[in-house]
Amino acid sequence: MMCEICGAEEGQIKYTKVINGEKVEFFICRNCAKEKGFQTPDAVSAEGRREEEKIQRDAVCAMCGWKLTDVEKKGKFGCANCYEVFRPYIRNLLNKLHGKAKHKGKVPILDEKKLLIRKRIREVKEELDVAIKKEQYQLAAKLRDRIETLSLKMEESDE
Amino acid sequence: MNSEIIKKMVRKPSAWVDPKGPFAEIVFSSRIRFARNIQGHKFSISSTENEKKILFDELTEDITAIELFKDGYVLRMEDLSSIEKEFLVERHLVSFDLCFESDMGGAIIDKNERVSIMINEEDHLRIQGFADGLQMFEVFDFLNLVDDEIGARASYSYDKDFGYLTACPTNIGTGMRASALVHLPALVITREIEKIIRKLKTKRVLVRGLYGEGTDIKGNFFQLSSSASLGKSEENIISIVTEIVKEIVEKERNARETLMKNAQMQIEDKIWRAYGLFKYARLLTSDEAINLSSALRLGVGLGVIRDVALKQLNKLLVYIQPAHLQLVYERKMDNYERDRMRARFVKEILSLDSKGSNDG
Repeated sequence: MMCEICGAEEGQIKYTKVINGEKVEFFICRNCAKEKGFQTPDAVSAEGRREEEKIQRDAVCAMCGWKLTDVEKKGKFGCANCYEVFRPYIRNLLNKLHGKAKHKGKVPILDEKKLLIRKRIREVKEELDVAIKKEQYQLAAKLRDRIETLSLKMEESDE
Repeated sequence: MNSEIIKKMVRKPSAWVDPKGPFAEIVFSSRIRFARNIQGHKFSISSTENEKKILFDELTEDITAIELFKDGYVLRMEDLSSIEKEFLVERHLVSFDLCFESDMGGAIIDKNERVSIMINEEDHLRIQGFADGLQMFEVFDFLNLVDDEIGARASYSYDKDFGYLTACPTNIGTGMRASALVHLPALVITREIEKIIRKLKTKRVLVRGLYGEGTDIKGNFFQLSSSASLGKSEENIISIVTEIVKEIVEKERNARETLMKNAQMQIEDKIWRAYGLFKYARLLTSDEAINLSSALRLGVGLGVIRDVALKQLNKLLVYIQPAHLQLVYERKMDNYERDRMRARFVKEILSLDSKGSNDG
């Protein structure tokens, strides 16, 4: 989901505000969280840090719904997005675990084009299953051809 | 379908049970695993059973398309009996948690059992590779290719500072762990082992028992594994672990030499007694069998015992475990019955000549 304030970035943080006695939830991005008076983790002032800690305490991960208390209780994260939402907390934790280290080592090979084709093949396969169930054989034949073309495309991008 | 696969596996030991790798008389096996998660999916710990099922099906489709797994095994935990699950744990192919935490876990294993991929464990994927002896880099080479092939089909969660994102922050970075299972009887007898373990801890190497996390030291087997996964490259971590294992192998060899120099008769007596007990006992508990096989292994390593091969001992170590025994003899057994059949199985294996064929 995109940020409900700026609409330009991914809304990774669930932000709860009480409006007219009612709790309203927004999904906002880190930048907008900062602009709403929340300071960045590198702000050196003690007050800034306290403020940052407070955001971390109140933040809810938009993907898995976990709070920092869940992370602390379980010693694990609920999803990859938690690493964004609780970044300063994690940075701190990692400093203790691994020192001030950054990742060195392999980087995943990302072939966006191929991934896109695979995703499309999967979708068409689902459509095909439905078509067969509904006995729409003409459509099924078309979808089968479509899968074949997509598979060929996939192989071409291999070369 | 699943129990047919398990039956097939019971008949054939994992390829790495045959010790051909370097230092095989001391290093039982080398193992590497990568922890990986897939973008757009919550980690297992916060997923519903249905979400796990969807991911399982997607990943199975992706992974079985890879050449190595085309004639491999796909196992779903929900289709396996608890004995069959324990069998896989005994082979180190899957973890206890994978078997008993959720029904939606599973594993894809190549037919030589060199690579086992756990799905929906703590991380979406735990890609593991095995080899006999000390062969960390060899395992890394083939496992790395498998990792790339999966990564090209499913997109991994990754962050440029944190590396591969994992459910537990201790695995972040390379998501890799390299470990070796080593047999150190002489260092135990000379008591040097305690000092070595203390030193390893300062080097951030984990020392555990025969069956991994939370298990006791049995039969003088120690599992040594890397712990740091952030800030070092895969090759760097592997070469550190390899060097440490080599050092320990050297120490064990020296300790064996010292023992043979100072107490040859006592050591040989201990080995031959163990051989006698092992071969002629009618009831053997699991612990006793592991300890006797440890003495025998030392005997083979020292050249004291010549009519038993390491391969037989490796096979024994795997097959004397409860689920293996029950699946070999195709029936449920209580403790007493297992001890009886374990003794029988040991006798059968030891009466084969060292090439593994029956001399009558």
